[in-house]
Amino acid sequence: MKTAGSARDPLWYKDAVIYEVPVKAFFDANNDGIGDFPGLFQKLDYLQDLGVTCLWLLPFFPSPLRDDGYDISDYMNVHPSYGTMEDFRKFLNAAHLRGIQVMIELVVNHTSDQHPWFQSAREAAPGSKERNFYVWSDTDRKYEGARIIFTDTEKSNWTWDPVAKAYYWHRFFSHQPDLNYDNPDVLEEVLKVMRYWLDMGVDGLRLDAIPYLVEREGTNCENLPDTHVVLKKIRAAMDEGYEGRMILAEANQWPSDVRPYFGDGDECHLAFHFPLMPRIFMALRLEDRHPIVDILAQTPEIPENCQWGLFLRNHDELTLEMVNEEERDYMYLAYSSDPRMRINVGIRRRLAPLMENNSRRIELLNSLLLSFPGTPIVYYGDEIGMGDNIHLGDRNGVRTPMQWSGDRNAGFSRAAPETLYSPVIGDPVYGYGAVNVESQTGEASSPLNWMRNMIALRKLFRVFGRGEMKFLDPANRKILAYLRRAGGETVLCVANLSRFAQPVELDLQQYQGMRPVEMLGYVEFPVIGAQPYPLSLGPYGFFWFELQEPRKQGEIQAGE
Amino acid sequence: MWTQIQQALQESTARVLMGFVRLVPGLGALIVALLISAVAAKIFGFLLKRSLRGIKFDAKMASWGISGLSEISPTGSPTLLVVRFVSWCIILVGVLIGIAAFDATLTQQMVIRMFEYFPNFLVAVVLLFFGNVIARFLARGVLIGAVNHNLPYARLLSLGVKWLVIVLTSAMALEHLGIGGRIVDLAFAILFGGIVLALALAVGLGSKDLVSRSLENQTFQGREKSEEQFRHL
Amino acid sequence: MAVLDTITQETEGHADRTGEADLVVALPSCQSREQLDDAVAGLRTVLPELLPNGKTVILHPDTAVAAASEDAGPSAADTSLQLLAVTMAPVERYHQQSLDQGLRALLQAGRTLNAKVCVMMSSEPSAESLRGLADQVLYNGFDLSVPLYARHKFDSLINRGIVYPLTRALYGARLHNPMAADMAISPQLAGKYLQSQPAAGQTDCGWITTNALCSGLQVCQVHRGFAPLPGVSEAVDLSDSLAQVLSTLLLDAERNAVCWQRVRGSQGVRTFGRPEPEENESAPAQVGEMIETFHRGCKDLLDIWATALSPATLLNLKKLAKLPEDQFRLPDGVWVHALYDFMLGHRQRVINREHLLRAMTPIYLAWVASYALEVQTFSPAAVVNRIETLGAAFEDLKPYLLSRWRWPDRFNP
Repeated sequence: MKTAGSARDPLWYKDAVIYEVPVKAFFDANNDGIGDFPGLFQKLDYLQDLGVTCLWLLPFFPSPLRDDGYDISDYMNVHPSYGTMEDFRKFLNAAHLRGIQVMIELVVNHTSDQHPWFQSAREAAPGSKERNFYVWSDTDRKYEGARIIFTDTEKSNWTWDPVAKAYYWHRFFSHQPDLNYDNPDVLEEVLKVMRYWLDMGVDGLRLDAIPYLVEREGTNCENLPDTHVVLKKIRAAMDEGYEGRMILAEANQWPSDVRPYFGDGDECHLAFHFPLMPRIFMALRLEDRHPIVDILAQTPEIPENCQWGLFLRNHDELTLEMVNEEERDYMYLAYSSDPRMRINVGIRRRLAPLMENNSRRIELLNSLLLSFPGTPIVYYGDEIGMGDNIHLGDRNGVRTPMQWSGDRNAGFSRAAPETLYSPVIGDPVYGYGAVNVESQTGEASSPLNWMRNMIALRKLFRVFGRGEMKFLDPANRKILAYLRRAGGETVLCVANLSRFAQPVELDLQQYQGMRPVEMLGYVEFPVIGAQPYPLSLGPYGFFWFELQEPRKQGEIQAGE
Repeated sequence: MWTQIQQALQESTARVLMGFVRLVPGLGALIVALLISAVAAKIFGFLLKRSLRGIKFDAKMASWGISGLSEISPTGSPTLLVVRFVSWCIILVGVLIGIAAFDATLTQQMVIRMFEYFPNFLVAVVLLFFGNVIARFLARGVLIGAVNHNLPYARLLSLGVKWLVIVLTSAMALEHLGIGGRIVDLAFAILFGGIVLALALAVGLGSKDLVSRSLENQTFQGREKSEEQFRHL
Repeated sequence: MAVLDTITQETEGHADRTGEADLVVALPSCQSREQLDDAVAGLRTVLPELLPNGKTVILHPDTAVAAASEDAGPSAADTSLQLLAVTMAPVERYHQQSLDQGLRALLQAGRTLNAKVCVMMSSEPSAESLRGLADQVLYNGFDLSVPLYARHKFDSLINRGIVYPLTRALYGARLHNPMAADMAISPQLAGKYLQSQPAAGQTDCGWITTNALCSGLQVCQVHRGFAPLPGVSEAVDLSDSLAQVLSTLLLDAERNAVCWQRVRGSQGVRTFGRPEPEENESAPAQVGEMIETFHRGCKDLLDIWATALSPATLLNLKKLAKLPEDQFRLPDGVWVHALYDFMLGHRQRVINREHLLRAMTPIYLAWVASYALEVQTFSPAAVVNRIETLGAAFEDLKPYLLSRWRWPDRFNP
């Protein structure tokens, strides 16, 4: 039976506030030390209260878990540690009842080497239908133009399979063979998977690693035209059978290279803006708006029905692939004093430690996230300022259990601490004793309540999700000022990237006669005149102003 | 003579020693029972605390408007109150088990009676708790209502209602515990009557004006009354 | 929900037999045959003028059905007017739930009959009122028309002191009787209202008035003179009524928070008809008792008020309590702050909501006393101006409400 999506507005993803959550890390209901769907179900009230409108679930499918679930061995089931299909359905319905949409992962580029497809492929005869589900070669010298992504662990994109007696192609770990999209059966199977989840009522799909779907000799095997053919087919299949659903593309590329993934509005609805994120951090550290303004100037226009997905931090490292050499060096020096904080081409730390737990900096960055053009994505735990653990391997340091209270295991699970999938953060600054949901709920000025109020405010103004953006160009480069406009609604955002108070004069002549009203406290500021508009901002301060027309005194009109 | 004295001494020493030796296992048992119950209380208390925190007991209490419990709770947390109560109950049970280990009819009977008594005790505690909560809630409602009706002694009235409920539930609790017997009934009747009389006086004194005014109004129909001058809806 | 289902089935069943209608009128107050006969005879006089060649369906409570449809009902030849009996309870004054049920029955019938306008006449039906209200929807393109009642200066005080100015400040429309229970409704608004579902834990879907204002639909008011409002079931106590009205008002505001946070200032509402001339009366106001209640509140309810009111407002109230009767004036600012604080306290559930709203009675009485003393010698026009000034104060302090609504914190001035 096909269940309808939960969103009424087909463009719901434009106004959404997405919350990224790994099921295993959120809440453990059966006390086996691993978070699960019943746990997530129990915490839906918290998420609703926070104000997020869409949950992005990291992979929860059966998997050998050698890449945090991105190595899937069965696309149409739930990993037994996380519960059952029934638990998932129950959670999905409960989320929908609360007006929360649910987005899941569709990892289409590769499977686990444990997946039955791969197992039968390696056994099957070369050239057979089964074998052709994956990319095989007798030599490891094909597609040499393709770079290696996991530079820390992989030496080649080819790995020898002794059973098949051939090399198989993998862009990520060697246990994740890439699917072969030159074989039409592969797409058919992927569409089956997609329909399976959409039929259940899932609202969105995040397509993982899509630039690498297709390989061609003589290219870098990224962003190839044939990839778009595949994507268009996936989108067409979605549009054909379902309303109000969404595809989010994960393409860690330059904006101009990501642009084609929107197609003419007929590929992905949403795509991450990867290069923006490191530049926000860079601008803050440099106390200069240039990196942000520069990258957004390079960002091309996208179709009406499409949107950028914005984030500060996620479950991966703070990726530095989309910056140049010099910028990368600067970022390493600025944000990873300890070499253990680095992994692959990035920095594996959470938002709060990156900001050295300075609440003003954290608030400033979140204010940018919530007011830039795009759909904001909040990583679980960042709303309370959770820390990370660089002593854990891979990127597990930013995937520790959610800190619910000061009780044992941070209130995440009642299992014995040694059975938890990962130790909780216990240090004196970021540990669960100091940073947890319970203590922050009651405190009106806590990071959690700050985030809750800001999300509510963002949702009040549709211009944030739908409006265009225009930068102002004040002389003081420590000040970032921009206008968001949509349908007669104008919002002015001003942010001070410096640690000291800053003056600024804004050229707002176009809005002469209008009155800026500060949105958080609804404070009326002086009317904009012919002169540049002067403002002073405190350290890392920011303002959101609603530009209001001068008040018209309403007259009672007589009727007959 | 000496042999007799010696024998008597030996016998008495043996008796005392025997008695002591008989007592030692009981003592040991008491200490062990105490230790075990203390550990059990700690563990159970911990589990209870976790589960109460899990269901957000404190927040629920507050949202149900039951602030009475938090006022009498340590550090204002009803969870802690419940946990401590349960822990002490477990320790009490441990003590009883320990005492029962003294092989004596008296102690055994006492223990059996204590256990028979236990459900009554629990009911009494629950009664007292709800009595307290209801008393506070009603007292606030009465206070607001009395002030809105412009009754003097509004606070007295609300206090009266509060104590009425508390006394009533306390009497019920004592009845359940079987303490005091008829004295309680009698004392309760006197106290209850006293409170009712006090309330009647408070209302009566307060409404004296009210009554006289309404009589006046009936007598002098033409006189305008403030209530008729204004219409709120 | 069962009641609603029955209503739907009933009206749909009848609708099959009735076909279509231009006008559907609900008369929930006609609980007896005589009342219904009188009402129908009255309404019949304006129908030809209001709807030449049009068809009207009158919904009335089934308690009056047998007699009415047999004796006084239209003959088979007269197809322009038809009576339908449905389960319908009389609407009580300012009682949202009873109005909501009647409205749903009416609007569902209107939808099935494809009516151009639905008219709710909760108070005593009058031909004049029907014409006044229905005209605006039928011929002037309004989606909702409500009556504007003339009232003596000491009447309808909850409306003057709270409902009107608060609705004006929140929704930006100077609608003088936003809680009126008589109204004419367009199919567009009917559709919107029927779509809305009661929020969890609530029994009704809020006011149709605020629903129309938030949807940006056209609203107008029609002068109705000193016409009576629907009755109240029994002699209710002031704090009951106040708590009931406030509760409806605040729950509605909570439901529409996204809408009213974006509204600034206020606009006049198109008004039709002629205002009834009012006599200049000036009786000295008897406010001693009210002030006494306020004093008592200040003495005994201070700690309950303190859960909601900010310290500055509390201090101002205490200062007010010290004033002699002839100087007893509650400044608009203090009154508005107090009301906004109660609104925020209600939203945050600082104590039991019912208790909180009831505890406001003495402060409301202080406002009434202060208002009465101030306007006792005023002319009707000056009283209107006074209420407009109060409305402006509500608007001026809206940022206070907004900032605390957006940024809840107990650390208030």
